[in-house]
Amino acid sequence: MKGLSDIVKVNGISKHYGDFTALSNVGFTIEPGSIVGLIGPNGAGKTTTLKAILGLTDFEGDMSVLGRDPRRGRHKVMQRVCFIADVGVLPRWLRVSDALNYIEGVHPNFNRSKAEAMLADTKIPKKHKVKQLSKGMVTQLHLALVMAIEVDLLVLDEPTLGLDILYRKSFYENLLNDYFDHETSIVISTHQVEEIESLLTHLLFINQGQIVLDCAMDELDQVYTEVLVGPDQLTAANALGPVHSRDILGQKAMIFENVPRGELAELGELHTPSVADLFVAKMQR
Amino acid sequence: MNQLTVLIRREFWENRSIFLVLPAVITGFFLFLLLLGAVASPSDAITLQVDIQSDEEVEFLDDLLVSGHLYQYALLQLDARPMAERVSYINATMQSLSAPLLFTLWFVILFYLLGSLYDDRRDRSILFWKSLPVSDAITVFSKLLTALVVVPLVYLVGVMLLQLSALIFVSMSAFGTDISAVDTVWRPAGVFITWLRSIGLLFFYALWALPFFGWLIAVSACAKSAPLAWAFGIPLGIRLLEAIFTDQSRVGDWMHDHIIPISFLDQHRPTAENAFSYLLSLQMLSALVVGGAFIYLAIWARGKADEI
Repeated sequence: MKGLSDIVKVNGISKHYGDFTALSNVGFTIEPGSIVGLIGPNGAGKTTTLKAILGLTDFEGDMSVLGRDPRRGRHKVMQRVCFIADVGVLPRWLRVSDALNYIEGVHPNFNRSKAEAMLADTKIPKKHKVKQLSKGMVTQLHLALVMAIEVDLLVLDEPTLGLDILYRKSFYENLLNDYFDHETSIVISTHQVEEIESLLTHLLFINQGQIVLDCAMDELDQVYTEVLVGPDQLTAANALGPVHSRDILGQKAMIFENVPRGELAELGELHTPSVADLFVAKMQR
Repeated sequence: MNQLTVLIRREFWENRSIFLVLPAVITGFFLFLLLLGAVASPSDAITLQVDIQSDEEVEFLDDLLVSGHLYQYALLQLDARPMAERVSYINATMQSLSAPLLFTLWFVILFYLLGSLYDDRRDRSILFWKSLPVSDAITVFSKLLTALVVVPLVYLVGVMLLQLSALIFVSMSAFGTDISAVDTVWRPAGVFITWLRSIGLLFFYALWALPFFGWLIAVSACAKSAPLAWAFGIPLGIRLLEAIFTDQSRVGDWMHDHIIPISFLDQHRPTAENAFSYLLSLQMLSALVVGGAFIYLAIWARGKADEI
């Protein structure tokens, strides 16, 4: 499956729950080897988008995941895609050792010894059932299971929600250390931008069921510029149409979209905005 | 098919208590009662002898009080009777011994199927199961196979153990007497034929009641709450509507026929001779078609299913 031009191609999908529009004409692509952050506030449509990719929910519109329509061939797609949902969805009655047995039995790309090695680094007893593990351990377990499966796409839906800071840190460290040598693409949804900012190669912002930003991290500085504008330059700056502005120590921090840096240079100090500031700017519009 | 094996094992991990522990406990309990029969005096045994129920055996019980222990007495009684009566006494006893386990089995299958595609939507673990490359069809199939083949076989092992123990206890009292245990107990019992017949009956009932079992798994796949209420509410509603708007009860009778095991055993029991034509009878074929449609519905609904 490697060498496909796009891992995921979403062409304007929509999803309605009764009168509520969860997704409205959402479109984006995920390239091989990219780490995409799907970022939006609660209820923005992150989970619905990811579930649609995984064939776990119905939708209107077109999508191909590894060349397949996930609605039709979910079980085929899942040979090359892994998924960790927000808080532990591992069944409470499942024993750790049986989880290994099960995945070994149903997944052609599962490397059991790799999973065992990763579990050996944790304090998870193999004889325990999921219900006997702490929340952090359940996430560690799920991560160990999933990381031992060789896939083209890993989908993480708020994987660290409800975990304390120590687990969150080590979760992303494990993820990076393990997946950076792979060619696997990763999609991570979260509403905590700062935590994953440094991992990402692509940004997708979603708000009220619509994609409001779709940009590669290394192109961010070509599209977005933050300028610290002094009081005397305010009128000139506003004329260039900032997408967001906020007060910092008597100055205005303004974010511009698609305004050449040459035109902005006279206004003040130029930065590339942080993802968090960009997020606030995009969500408040 | 390796995947299917793992899927069935998974069902046993989840439902160990009702698939293995429960039949073991029931078997153990009745084994204990059988053992009591060997050591208790007949006057004690009369209250414990739960497996003798039918009218014709009442005289057994009356005489019991004046004899040695229970199995010795049973042996003497059998020895005194012609072959045909031995067969019917032993058969009745064997059937009684199977009743508690098979009665439990029916309820175990009922509740297992109702929860099989519902519970994981409830606790959100469906997101885990569906994130693995297992098709919806094989998922549903593995649950049906577990409910209608594997678990019944487990319960049958318990039945066989009880029947075998009872026969062994009776034959043991033949030691030191000139009564032949083979002639009085084992030949009339015909254990292997009896067991084959039990397996055959279970198999036929599974097919005969496929509309019911298919319906249960379809409800389990579709219901957003209270699957038990849907599973019985809708058929009862249909029965009620039929009673109100027509003066017939054909749909109601058909449902009754294909649900209640007693009605199957009393009126639609297959025999070794008619097994094949039974399978191809209109009644059976209609059951397979309706059952198959419900199973298809369950697979379809499982494909659309999300957490609830």
